[in-house]
Amino acid sequence: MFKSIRSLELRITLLATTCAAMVLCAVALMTYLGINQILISQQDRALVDRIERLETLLQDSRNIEQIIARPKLYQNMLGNQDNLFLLIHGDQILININPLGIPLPKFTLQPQIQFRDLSVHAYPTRIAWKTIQINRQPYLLIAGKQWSERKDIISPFQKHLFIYVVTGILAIFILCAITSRLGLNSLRTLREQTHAISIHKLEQRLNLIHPPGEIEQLASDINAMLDRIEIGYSQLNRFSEDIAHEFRTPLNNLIGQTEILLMSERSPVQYQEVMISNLEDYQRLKRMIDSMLFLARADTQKVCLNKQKIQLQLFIENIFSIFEYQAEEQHCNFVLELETTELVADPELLQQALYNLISNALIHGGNHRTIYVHSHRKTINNMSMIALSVITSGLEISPEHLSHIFERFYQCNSSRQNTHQTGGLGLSIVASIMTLHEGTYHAVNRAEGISFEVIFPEAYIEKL
Amino acid sequence: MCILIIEDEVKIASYLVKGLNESGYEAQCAHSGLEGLEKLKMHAYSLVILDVMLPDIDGWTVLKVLRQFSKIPVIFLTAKDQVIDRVKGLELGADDYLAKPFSYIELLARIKSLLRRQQYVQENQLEIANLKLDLINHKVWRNKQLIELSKKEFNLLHFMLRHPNEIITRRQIASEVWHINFDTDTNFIDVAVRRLRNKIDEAHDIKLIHTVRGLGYKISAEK
Repeated sequence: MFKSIRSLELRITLLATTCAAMVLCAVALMTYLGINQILISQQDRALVDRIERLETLLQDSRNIEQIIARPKLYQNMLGNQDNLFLLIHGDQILININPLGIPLPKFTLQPQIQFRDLSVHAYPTRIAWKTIQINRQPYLLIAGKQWSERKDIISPFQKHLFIYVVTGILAIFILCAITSRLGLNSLRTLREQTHAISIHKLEQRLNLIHPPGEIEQLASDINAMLDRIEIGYSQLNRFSEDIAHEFRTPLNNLIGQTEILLMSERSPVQYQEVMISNLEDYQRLKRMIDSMLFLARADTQKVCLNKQKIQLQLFIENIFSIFEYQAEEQHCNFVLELETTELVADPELLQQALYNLISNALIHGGNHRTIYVHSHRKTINNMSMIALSVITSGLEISPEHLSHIFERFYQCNSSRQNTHQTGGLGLSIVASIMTLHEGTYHAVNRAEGISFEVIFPEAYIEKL
Repeated sequence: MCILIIEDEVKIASYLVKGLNESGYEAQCAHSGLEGLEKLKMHAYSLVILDVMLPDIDGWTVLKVLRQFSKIPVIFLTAKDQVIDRVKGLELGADDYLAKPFSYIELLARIKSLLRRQQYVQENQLEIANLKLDLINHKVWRNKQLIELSKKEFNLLHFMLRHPNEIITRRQIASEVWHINFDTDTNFIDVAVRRLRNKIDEAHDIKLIHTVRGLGYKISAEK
């Protein structure tokens, strides 16, 4: 029951019908009251006519004498069954036409015509009375008409009106039901089509024929959402596939080496060799799991940031010191140019981001490079940001790779040979770290060389 | 010194007992939280290794109950290295924590540091064989000959000398000397150790810095 009341179709129908019914009833009531008013005023006019006619008649004193002499004649002349007419002079009732014996109240002297409804009686009657002066004597004239005359006209009208109103409401209800059913038809189609979309049919889109504007909007919003889900899902799918591949390499080493080792008796040194090699592979697996776990948590924003104010000079010099020897061997040197010296970020994550960027610069840049780390303030969309760039001199990345370079497991040269320690996740970890900091990241080719830029919102400083 | 391991995973518990025995500690294990608490009430242990995920009552509860009657050092092991878990454990009174999968060498290092925490005194001069390190003047001598070291090399040697005859992993070195607490490519540590070794050991017959294959390094006067 409650479920059907929650149906939009029924609600619209009921609402529209209720509104229409209210309007119809109001119109009918006003019509009824109007007609009733017209009938009443007609009746009043008839009463007034009668009183005035008799008044004119009575102005002639002869007439009044005749009336007094032969009241029966006048009674017959003026009266019919359901009319009421009285002429009273003092205590004397000169003319008394009151066939239904309607009891009359006491009347005061009134020179103007007065009206009154006598409704407590079995035959409700409307009366009019007036005091007239004949030969300086007050005479009271009373005329009356029964309601039944008016009732005879108004009650069939009332009955008809009622039938019209009920029929009208019914018609509106049916029409509304049909209209809203037709109008919401596209909603039903929308539901059916949405229902048909599953993980296996993610490419399917909602397609409605001539839908109402609102539903068209909804459908296009849903379609846009499906686009996003499809992209995310396919990325996720590719990611899992890549992960599986990445896992295979160390596992392959582990299984193969251990099997070969166990095939015959070996010297302790040989066992030791294999164990050490296994340990390296285990550590590689662990690193991959850690990276993936970090990415997964960053995606769901489950990483708590430990934001601190960082003095960039010391901080970056410490990271340089990690790569000191490697740079020396590759004849590379580091240059630090700080326009802004402070930054608010999670130190461990910032360290990891810069570590990955500088490590990439050394690994992919080869020998004889200068690696610049540059900080400056920047305004993006009216927001003050602090940008850190890691620039490798004389190195360039072709534009078709640039837009994908932050994707997980993306490798510029598609062979998987180049899997160094981060296993193709280094830049995507940088990307996740920046997303966690509500910052941005990008890579551009500059005149000096390839520049990887991570941009932190400066507002962090105020928040702190 | 007896260490109690409360861990439901039998394989981990048994290799930890084996490892700790080899490292010179007595070790016992309990496979559930209640059994662990029972044992803690009956015997005097020097340290507890506590797994968070236990079949009956979880590690947090064990820790809470334990802290009502004992101040024994606790290292807890967790599969989830979420910051919240870490904070929760330390708030409940744990002394240290390790996320699974953990390295045994690191666990051993933490156990050692917790057990000697009470008697640890900062020394101004560290020595091994004829190598001397002066912390106040930042100077190092080998056989009374002054050796020039870079700042990082000095820190590295200082860290090693604080743990003589112990295996030190690359990760520990990265964390102590370069303050890197995430897993990285550790080549740079090998290079740094190699350079330090050149300066300290090359001219001498007795080598002090040893490579422990697959695990890390050790500074020791013995071979």
